[in-house]
Amino acid sequence: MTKTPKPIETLGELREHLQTAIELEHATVPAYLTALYTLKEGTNLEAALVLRSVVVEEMLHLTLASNVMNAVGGSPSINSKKFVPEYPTRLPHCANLFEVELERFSEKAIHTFMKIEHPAYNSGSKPKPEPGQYHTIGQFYEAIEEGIEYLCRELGEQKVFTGHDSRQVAPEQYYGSGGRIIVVHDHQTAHSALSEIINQGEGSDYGDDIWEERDKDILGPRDQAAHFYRFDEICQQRYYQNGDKPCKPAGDPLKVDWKAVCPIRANTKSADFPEGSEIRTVLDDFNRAYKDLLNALHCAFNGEPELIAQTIPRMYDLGYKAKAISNIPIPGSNETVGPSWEWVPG
Amino acid sequence: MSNDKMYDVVIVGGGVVGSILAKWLTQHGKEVAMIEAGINDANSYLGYQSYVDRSYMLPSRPNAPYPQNDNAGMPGIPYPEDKTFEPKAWFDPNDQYWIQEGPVAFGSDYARALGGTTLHWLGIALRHLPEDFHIKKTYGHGRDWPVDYKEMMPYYRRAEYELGVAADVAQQSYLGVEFEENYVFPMQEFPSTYLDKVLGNAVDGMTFKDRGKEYPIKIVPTPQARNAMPNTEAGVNSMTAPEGPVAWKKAHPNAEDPGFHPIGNPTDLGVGLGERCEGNSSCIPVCPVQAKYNAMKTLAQADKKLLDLRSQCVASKILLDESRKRVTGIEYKCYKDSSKPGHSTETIKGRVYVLAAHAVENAKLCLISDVANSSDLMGCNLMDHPYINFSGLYHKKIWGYRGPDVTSGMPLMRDGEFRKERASFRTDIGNWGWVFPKGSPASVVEDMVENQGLYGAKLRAKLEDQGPRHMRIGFLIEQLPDPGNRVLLRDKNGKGKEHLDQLGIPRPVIQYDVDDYTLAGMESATKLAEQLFKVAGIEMQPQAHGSGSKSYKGKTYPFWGSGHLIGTHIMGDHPHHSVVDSYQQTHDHENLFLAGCGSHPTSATANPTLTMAALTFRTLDKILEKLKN
Repeated sequence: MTKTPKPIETLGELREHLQTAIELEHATVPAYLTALYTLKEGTNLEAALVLRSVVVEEMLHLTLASNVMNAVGGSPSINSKKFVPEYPTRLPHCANLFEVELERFSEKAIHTFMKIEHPAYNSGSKPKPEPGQYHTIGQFYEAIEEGIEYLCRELGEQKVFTGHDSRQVAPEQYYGSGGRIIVVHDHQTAHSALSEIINQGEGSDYGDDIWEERDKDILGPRDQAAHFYRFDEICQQRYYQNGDKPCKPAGDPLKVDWKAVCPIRANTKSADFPEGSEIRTVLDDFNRAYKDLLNALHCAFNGEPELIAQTIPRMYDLGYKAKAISNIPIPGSNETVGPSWEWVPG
Repeated sequence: MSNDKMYDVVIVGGGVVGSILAKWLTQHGKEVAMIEAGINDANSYLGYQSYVDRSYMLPSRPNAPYPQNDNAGMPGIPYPEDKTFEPKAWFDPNDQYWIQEGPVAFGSDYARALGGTTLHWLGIALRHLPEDFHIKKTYGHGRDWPVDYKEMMPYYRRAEYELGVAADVAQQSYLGVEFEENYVFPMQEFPSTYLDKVLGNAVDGMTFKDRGKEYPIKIVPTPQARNAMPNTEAGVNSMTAPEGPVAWKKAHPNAEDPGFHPIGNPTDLGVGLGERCEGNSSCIPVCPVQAKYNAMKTLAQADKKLLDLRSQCVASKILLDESRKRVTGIEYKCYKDSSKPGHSTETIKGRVYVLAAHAVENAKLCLISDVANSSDLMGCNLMDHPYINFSGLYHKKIWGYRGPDVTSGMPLMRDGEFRKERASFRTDIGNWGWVFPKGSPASVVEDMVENQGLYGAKLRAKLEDQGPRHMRIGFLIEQLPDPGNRVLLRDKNGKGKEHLDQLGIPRPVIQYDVDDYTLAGMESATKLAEQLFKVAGIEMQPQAHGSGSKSYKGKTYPFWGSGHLIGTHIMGDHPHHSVVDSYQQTHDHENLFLAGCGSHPTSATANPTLTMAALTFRTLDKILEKLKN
């Protein structure tokens, strides 16, 4: 991530930050999905739903960030090598604290996810933003908000929000996540979009608040806990209920079978296997499907939002492939192949 | 044990009618008790998932995933529960909870579990035509309803927004059906399938000649209560206002009018699932993601502080005061284990009582209790839509087995002069290949392997060649009300054990037949099917046996049930000729309502659920008015 030693003061810097935001939202998705897809069929239904719910919210954030970027005249870049992290990877906002791996569902993996969502969890204290570094994604988005505000004052709202509405992903095209997509075309809607991301709870400074702010129109019998606390529910094998204190869930039990998991090799790389081998062929096929998905997303975020519909079957396809891969034994070991989520050139 | 609390309203039945009433009554601040005979699994993600998992293990039948319950039996699955039973066909008359005395087997079923029959319904949500409300006056057959289409319009709109119906006003405005100015359905028209389009091209310009008249054949999308793209500008308040959207907007120029948002999976963990149909193609027997409307979506919106929901409680008797004008309570049997008869007997009291247990159970309970029957019509006029089906092999691949079973039909023959002589019908274009009624794909593969001796590459080749060419066209035939078609009891006093369920409550007995008026409709529909298949180049397959069959003019017509149970406590203006009035209030008892398809005086050709939901809103308004006084 580019170190920005100063606040955002130009449209170019704003668009760069938004590109980074999109890359950040995406970077955790392969890790969460890998854990999800190593759950054995028919087991750990509740944990699977938690993982799925966090992933779809990341995708919502990704799409909201893309809408903001398009609204301020930017063009998100999705289908490039730079977009795909090499695991294990450090995330920019917690650069010195830990690495994120592609690994099987386990207590270790869930703990890592909790650190991603709330970096202070590890250090035990609230991080302060230092010059040139953001310590939480929340601080990062706040810098974007401040940048937009500054630029609207300096240049006028019209000069900031120059993007065409036809590039916006709208509610008709986007659904199935725990939040609502927002069409961005001015300062107010940009603020709504960014607030939606911040409120759904990713390392933001309010970290002690268990519950997400909820859009009261969305039907649901249960308040949604912030991501950090959903992972905590898996760890502690218990749901939060209203009135509980942080890290002390006292609701219904959440059954987890830590053993019902495919034992994939962490951070599998296709180069681990010789070209032309069966395993290599399967991994290349997976990575090509991943690239096809990124290409479709790229087009959807660059003037063809109706193509979001095509990404849905591609995501299903990727899931089936990932589950199949996770069952392939690695000869000579007691591990199985992991989906490698690599960028394939060409 | 008695419960002395006096609720505002006691509702018997946790299906769509009961849920609509529970939601809206509690939102109006009323205290409501709902007693549901069956099990409450649908409310939780894991419970609902157990239905989905069961459905994958059993051949497709509407009630297959819902475990039989010996204390709240339901037709369509083995009774008493037989864990070794493997249903071999869509319908088997021998495995029924009710006792069928015939002469024709009644081919439809319903579910007794929280959520009711909307758990397994297909999800088609059609309005009746204006003419359907007075076929006696116009054609000299059947009965006239005590309401007409114009009076029903505001209730239809409220029902369409409650269920979430996907359709387009322009396409649905045929045969006199009209909508208020500026009305839009809550969701955009459901996408047609490739199959619909291919068939549409093949029959474009065709007409059907019947009894001296020509009827255009046009493929029209069928309205669905299933999540599609929402019409986000459709303001819920204006679109459901009694006076219509234009008048409401004029009277409330600055008022909030939130847009319609599809409700997906309403269970505790199902957030974000089911917000659009994914094409799982298993609406019947269960939608895996709950994109299809089911009553749980409505029930989830009830004010839980005011709703006392009791499942595994079977209403067993309606109690009257000495004057026999008022209901004073409902006795019910509460069980813990569905396989064991152990239960406690309790009573529940309310100011108003609503039976919403579907046509057969509503009538059965009234017959047991000797209630609301001064007309002697309780249980009488049972109707279905006898369903005739033609499976075929299209001459080229049309890729069925995807999407909901029916996205389009040919509705332009739902009304006409012919109704003087024969029943009307509605045409379904089926998307699920040969699932219904042959049990494809399992049965098809089995047949190829066992009867045709195919395996390996040859088996795959034949499946790849034929599977994508499977299709079917079905017809729902109107049935007239006939008091001889009825629900009755054989042993009200509980002496003959074979007529009682495990709780000692009498099982319903069905007498049912299909008359020449309906058979004449089948004859015409069959001619139309033969014409369609010829023009489109579809090889007709031998017809399956059906749940029943009858001869007419020397030809045998096999037919099924459509899953519809209509009549049994029909509405009318006069207590001599009807059981309830146009608000579904019984003529005989001032605080008892019988709500549901049982009130419909005729079947016409629309799947009855939307009309039933619309009438529920009419009943709701009446109950709120009563409670004010």
